[in-house]
Amino acid sequence: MSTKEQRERIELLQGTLDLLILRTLLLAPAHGHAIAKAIEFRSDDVLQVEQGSLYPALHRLIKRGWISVQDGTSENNRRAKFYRLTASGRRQLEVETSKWDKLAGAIARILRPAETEGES
Amino acid sequence: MNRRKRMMEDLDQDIRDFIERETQDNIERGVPPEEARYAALRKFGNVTRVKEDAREVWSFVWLEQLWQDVLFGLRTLRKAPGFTAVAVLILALGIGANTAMFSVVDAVLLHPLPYSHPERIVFLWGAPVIDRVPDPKPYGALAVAGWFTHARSFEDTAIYQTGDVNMAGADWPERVKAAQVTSDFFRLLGIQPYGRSFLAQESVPGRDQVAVLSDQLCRRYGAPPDVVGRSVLVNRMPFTVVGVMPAGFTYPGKTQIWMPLPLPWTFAASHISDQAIYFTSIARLRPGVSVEQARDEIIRVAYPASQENSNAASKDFEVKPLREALIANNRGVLWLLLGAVAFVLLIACADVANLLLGRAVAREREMTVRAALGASRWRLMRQTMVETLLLSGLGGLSGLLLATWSLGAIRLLVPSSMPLAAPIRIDGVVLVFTLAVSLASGLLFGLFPSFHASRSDLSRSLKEGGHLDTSDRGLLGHTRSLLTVSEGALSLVLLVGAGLFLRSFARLSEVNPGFNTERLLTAQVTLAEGVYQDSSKRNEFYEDVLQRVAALPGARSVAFTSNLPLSGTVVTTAFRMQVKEQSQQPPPVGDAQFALLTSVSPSYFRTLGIPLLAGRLFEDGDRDGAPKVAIVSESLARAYWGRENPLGKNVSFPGPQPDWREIVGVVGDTRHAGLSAEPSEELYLPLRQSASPVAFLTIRTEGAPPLITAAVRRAVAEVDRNEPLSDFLTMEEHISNSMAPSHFRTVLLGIFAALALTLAVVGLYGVMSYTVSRRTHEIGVRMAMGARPEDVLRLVVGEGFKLTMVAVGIGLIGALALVRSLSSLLYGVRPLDPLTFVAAALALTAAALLATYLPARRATKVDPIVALRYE
Repeated sequence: MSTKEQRERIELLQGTLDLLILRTLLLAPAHGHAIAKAIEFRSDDVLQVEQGSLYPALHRLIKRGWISVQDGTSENNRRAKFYRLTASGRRQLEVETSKWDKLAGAIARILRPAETEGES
Repeated sequence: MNRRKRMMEDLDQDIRDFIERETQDNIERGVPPEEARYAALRKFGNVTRVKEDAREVWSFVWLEQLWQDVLFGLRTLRKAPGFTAVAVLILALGIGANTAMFSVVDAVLLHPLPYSHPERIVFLWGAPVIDRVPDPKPYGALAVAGWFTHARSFEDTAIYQTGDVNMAGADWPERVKAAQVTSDFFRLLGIQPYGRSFLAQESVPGRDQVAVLSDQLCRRYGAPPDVVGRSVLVNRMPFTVVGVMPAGFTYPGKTQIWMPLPLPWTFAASHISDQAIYFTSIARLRPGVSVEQARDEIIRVAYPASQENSNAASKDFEVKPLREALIANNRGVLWLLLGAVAFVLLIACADVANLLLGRAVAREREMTVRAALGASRWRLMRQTMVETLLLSGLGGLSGLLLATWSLGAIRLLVPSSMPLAAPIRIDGVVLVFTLAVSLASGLLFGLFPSFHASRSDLSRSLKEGGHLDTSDRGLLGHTRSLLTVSEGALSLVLLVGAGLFLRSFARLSEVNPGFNTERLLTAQVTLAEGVYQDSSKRNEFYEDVLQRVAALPGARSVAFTSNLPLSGTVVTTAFRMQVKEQSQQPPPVGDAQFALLTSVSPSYFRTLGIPLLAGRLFEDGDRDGAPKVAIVSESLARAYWGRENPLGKNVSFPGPQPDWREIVGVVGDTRHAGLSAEPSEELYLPLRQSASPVAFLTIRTEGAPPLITAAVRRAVAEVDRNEPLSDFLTMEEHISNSMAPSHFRTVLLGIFAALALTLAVVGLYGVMSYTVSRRTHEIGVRMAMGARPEDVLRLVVGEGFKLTMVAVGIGLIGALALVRSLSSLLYGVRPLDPLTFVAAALALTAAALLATYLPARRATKVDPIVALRYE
């Protein structure tokens, strides 16, 4: 890994990964690898999902009842574990998203006062 | 748990799936297949770590890690059986001694009295002086009950008086402890008998022949349902049993039978003197009323006129929480002993801390390796803490066993004067105490090593291969020396205390009670009031018994006395006595003196071996009708007549008629209240001129006193089958009873001091052995350079001696500061007794020298060649 790559990558804030997983699963159930790929792809590879944190995060979400896991068959006919958003996970995603929006907005206002004023 | 297992299996599958997909992606990107998998694995990172992290989500991690720590700790302890055994034994001794001592403290001081809301029950004793009471008549309980009705501090009050009664036993009639109580007595204490308690109308003379029995007494007749309703003979009169108290209830004292207190209560001679009304009662305070308020009020009600002399008035009444009244002066001793045993525990903790520090050095490398492998400082510290808590837990368990075993001995040791609110046993409270003490000691002795463990410097420690450099050894050495010195100092304080108690006990045993105590059998008789109303009938009984017992083989000399020295149950009828001057007028009340009044048969002085100092003893002719005579004890003579000769002087008792008696003899002093008490000023009267209904039979025997007990019982039964002798005890037993409190504290403090000394010496031995093994190299060099064994010996012993001297210094200062609190418990020895201090210091020094000498001798055996190779 080059130094440049490292600089461009952003480490995920605590709890942010949970939000991204929930958001990813909103579209469709997916297996672990697909979740990681989806997050990386949709962030233009800026966000790298550490596998070391992906699986504990998935299990945390299962334990809280926000996602469920079931056996399924993947696109190339392989058996895999599919993670699916539950009803309470859906609600949680809304809550988390609005929290995140508020946080992001607040940080943005502090970092770039003029721009945000102009925009709003 | 099942869910977790399933999730982990899923995870395995998922991770495999992930890696396969990643491999596939890599191959699609054109990476060679054999490298593609490695790249995927590399990207994934530490599979085990991921699994661990996911597992943590599903588990109480800290609990599992704790469990691991416990298992690991147990393994570690098992791998070092010697260390574990010594540490657990030391802790078991410390914790066991504390548990045992606390079980006594709990039973006497902490356990709530087994009555309802015991904190509101007060003991109320009064001796109001008749002059101050506005209308003392009718004397007695009615007057007192009247005050109680006026006093608003009390919710309930009950007056009682205690005494002994005769009851028919299996072979012989028996003396039984009895109490006459007013009808509110049981309700006030909140204890209901099986059956019923007394009714108010049963406090009327003639209707009062009902009784409540203790469970123990009831069992002699049968089960409570069969006994209630039956009739029992009390002092030869039939009483109907209306109730049976629950097992264990014997208040006041060791009462076995309760009867109504007849009202109006005409006080017996022992309860009303010429001057005062004596009464004993218990009362329940209204909620929110303090003991002081209650006392002020009862004085105000009883003495409405005397505002000016409230100081004197307050002496006439005593209001105390019931517990205080029962515990009396036992509190201080118990806390003192508990404090002493806490010292033992501190020493044990210091010992184990020392052992652990020694081990910490040996385990330096293990800890370092674990730290290098990524164990956090917290985790290492926790591991050490878990190990120490395991040790303290094992120590606590073993201590509990030791305490349980020792309880039997302790129950025997506890003097009967110590009131127990509950039996001495290991109950919930004691268990909680043991647990707390074990935990606290674990934290205490674990503090040093775990601090040390967490502080260790990784790289240096690894480089040095587990050997410490000088500076670190210096710091560690300081800690260990500090611990050793504290142990020595603490044990010296206990040694001084134990030494003082021992000296005091020895002094007490040497006290001359004023008579010969060997082979003296004693027993008590109380003649029934109705039958032996007449003093001539009493005298007939006494004469007859004396003749028959004197004729028994094995009885050398026999006598009766109304007061038996050192018996503990002295009938202390204090009378006022005046000297006859020229006038024949009854002496004024003012200049009276209290003296112990004792009626004795003529043979009394000879039987006990009390020396005649002047004049003559009583003779057979000193009987009713003959001139009245008296004998005084030496101290009474001195207090009253000084250097004058008391012989031929006359004394009388206050009253409307003068009752002059001529003093015909002076005898040696005897001690009644106890060996530590001053000799009583005693006035002896001939039994035949003043026959009391209560008397002690005293027999000087040829052989062992118990041999003739049965024959004496038979001889008395031949005189009157219904008058039992009770309390057959030898004088030696009376003496050991009177010394029981001193014996109790001396034995316990002695054991604690011995334990403390042993533990301190073991600690010192451990430190010195460690020092020697650490310095093997240095010693080898010294010997190679020509040091002789004596030099090495001096070197090592000198170091131990230095520590010991510091410990002696600090210990002596500590002892000086603490011994003052002992002064009330000492007899014949001052708290700052130099001999005790020197002896204790010498004992500690000698033991410490022995503990340093053994390792020092090992040091002299060091072979320089081996020692030099050692490093």
